[in-house]
Amino acid sequence: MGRIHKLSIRTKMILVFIITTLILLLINLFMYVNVNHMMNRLDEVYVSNISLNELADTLTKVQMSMTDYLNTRTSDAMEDYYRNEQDYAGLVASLNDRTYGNDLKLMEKNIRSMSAEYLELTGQTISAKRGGNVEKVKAHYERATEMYGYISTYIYSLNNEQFRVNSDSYQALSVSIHYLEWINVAALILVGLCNLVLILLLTGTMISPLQRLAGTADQVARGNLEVELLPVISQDEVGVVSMAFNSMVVSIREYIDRLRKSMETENAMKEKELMMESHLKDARIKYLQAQINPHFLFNTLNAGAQLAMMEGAERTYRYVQNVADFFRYNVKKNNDTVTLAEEITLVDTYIYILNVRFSGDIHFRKEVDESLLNVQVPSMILQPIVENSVNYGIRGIEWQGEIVLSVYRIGGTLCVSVRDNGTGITQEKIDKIMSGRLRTADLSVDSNGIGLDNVISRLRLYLDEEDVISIFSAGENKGTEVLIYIPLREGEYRDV
Amino acid sequence: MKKATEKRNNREILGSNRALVAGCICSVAFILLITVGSMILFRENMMQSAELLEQSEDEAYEAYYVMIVSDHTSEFWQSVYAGAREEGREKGAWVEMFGSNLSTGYSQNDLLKMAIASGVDGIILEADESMVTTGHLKEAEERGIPVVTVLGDNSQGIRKSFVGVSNYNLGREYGRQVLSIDDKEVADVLVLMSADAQDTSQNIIFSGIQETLAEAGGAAVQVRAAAVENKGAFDAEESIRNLFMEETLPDVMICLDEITTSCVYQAVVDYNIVGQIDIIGYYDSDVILRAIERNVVRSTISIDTAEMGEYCVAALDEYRKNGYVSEYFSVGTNLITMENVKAYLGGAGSGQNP
Repeated sequence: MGRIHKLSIRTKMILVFIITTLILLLINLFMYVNVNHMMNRLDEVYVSNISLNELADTLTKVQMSMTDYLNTRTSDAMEDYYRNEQDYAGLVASLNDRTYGNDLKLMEKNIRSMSAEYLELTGQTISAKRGGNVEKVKAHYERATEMYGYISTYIYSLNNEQFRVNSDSYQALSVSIHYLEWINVAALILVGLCNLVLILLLTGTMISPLQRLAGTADQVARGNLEVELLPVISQDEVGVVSMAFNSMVVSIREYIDRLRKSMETENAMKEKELMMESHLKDARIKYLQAQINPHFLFNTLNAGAQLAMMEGAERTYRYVQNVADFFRYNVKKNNDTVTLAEEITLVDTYIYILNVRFSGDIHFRKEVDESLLNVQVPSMILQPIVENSVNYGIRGIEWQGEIVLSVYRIGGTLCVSVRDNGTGITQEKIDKIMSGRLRTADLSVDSNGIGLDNVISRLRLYLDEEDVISIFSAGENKGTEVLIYIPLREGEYRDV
Repeated sequence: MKKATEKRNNREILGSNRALVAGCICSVAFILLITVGSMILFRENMMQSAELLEQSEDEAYEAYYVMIVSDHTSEFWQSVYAGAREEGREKGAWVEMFGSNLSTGYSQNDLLKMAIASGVDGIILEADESMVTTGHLKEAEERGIPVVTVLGDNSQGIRKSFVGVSNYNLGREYGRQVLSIDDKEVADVLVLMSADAQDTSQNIIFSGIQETLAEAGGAAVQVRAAAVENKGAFDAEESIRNLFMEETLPDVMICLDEITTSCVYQAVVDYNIVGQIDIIGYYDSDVILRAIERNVVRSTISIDTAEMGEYCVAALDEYRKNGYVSEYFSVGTNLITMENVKAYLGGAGSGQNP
């Protein structure tokens, strides 16, 4: 079976053709031989009659040539006689001369014996004629003629008998031939049917893999790549095509998988980028909205500061200078990241401005781990938190307001804490803030516009983490602490 | 999951392959079966025709005897021939009813000439006393062909043996049959004899009848003979019919051969004179036995035909082997009447005793 599978379709087809043709050929040959045999038999049937007719003819010739000689006494007639006599003797010699239990054979034997006597008589007649013995000629001639009559009758009778027997044979043979015809037709039909079955079976082995292939290809064409792989048994052309098809399906599947994965990551990255950009833009727009024209403003403020210095107003100069720095930071630091030190400086400036505004009401304290000052953080994250603490925490309280900024490290995480001792915040509000549901609209007019939600979103995007900030409050009038966690990259800190 | 389906596929394919192989084997086997079957059938048929065509496998025989009788178609002679043939088969000789398969009906003398020319090993001849026959017998003797005469003899000729019935005894039996008729006065007895004047055997029968009747003191009984032509075909029937055209019909008719008996029986029926004439017949053919059964023929004397045939062949065989043979073989006779006809009817025409 395995060998069949290794054959190519062409070989298979040739095999099918050869096998069926051979079978048909053999059957035909067999039939041809049979028919031929039959025909030979038929030819033989009447051979005995033909030879008997010949015998009778030759006998007549002998008699006629003898009579002719007796009539004419010509040497021609004698020659004829001897020739015919020779022929007849030759023919007679082939007849049976033994006693068999068969009437026909015995008739042959009798013909043979009588013919010998007849020929002797004719010979005697001829010699008597040559010798001129008229009496003897007459006597011998009469006896010879009588014998001729007997032999003729015998041959005739034998011929008839033979014919009857031969006709029986012929009958039997013709029945056989009819029979043979039927056998031939039946055999040819049956063999034809068998061949058809053989061809169907053999071509089936070629066609069925093709049909399977076509079916599977159709499914693939309709987009179903999760088809079963084609079983490959035969090593013929269809087998090769099936194998190629299988590997094609497999590689298409792999390729599509790869493509999908890369598209997914790309999409995720793009999404992130877009969100970052949008948030930054949002912050900037809000900032610009709030500051109208910071360049103009801080140039103007610079001019005011110089004027104050010229006039010797040291405190005014410092104040104006700080305000200018504060705005400049916003204008200048439009890059994504800044160092923590810069952010803390901005907070200092902001607090200074506020303290001038509110006559030193705010007590600001820093507890900073100096080693962490160079850590890169997103810009504009600390100031909004401190602003929040001022606006919602300590504004309007009866006791001394204090804000503490702590920068420290826990393991590989940088912690920036802004703590106040103000009014505190409810857990409900904390949840709102953390889930981003507290919109800018809720903010007071006094804000520089960058809300806590913006800070949280940017931090999350920047750090690619959800858990970046936490807000604690012990309860009403017990202050609030906002904690930012920034995972440190290696090199940004030194282990103590 | 995939492996399972693959396995199933493989199984399916293996299954289909097995079916394919089985299909191929089956069809090839079927074709072979057809071929072989038709070959066998055909050969058988051919054999039958071949048997008809070729008869060369016949048994060879040591001797070839021919039987030449006046009428080879008659049941009597057929029965004798059957006996001779049977005996011949045992003795290794083939016996042929000479002339039976010739297209022309030859006379006995012609057949005798042919047989002599054919150089047969022996001739069984129903002879007559004619000179021609005597001449032929001489010729046969010259050629070394032994001749046995049967039923009819040629006392002049050189024949090796004669197989027949004792005609005198036969005549006396006929006479006794006439005497046994007691239901009517028998005054006129007609013996139907062959027209062949030289056949002396009939004369002996005739004198046997006469003697028997005379001894019984029946001087009043007139015994006369009528000649029945039997040389040509159908002559016998014609001459018997002529007898019935005569005005005086005999009381008893004695027939000395089978054909005469059958003809007389038919004539009596045809002329509607059953019962007026008592017929004493010869031989036990089916027709004659039925006639006895119907009480048309009074009795018939049958010769043991099979025995007759047997004796002929035995005589020839003996002569061929020893160079001499007994001159005369007597064949037994049986009388068949109304009383014992039933026993013969079973095996009618066989000539065998019941």
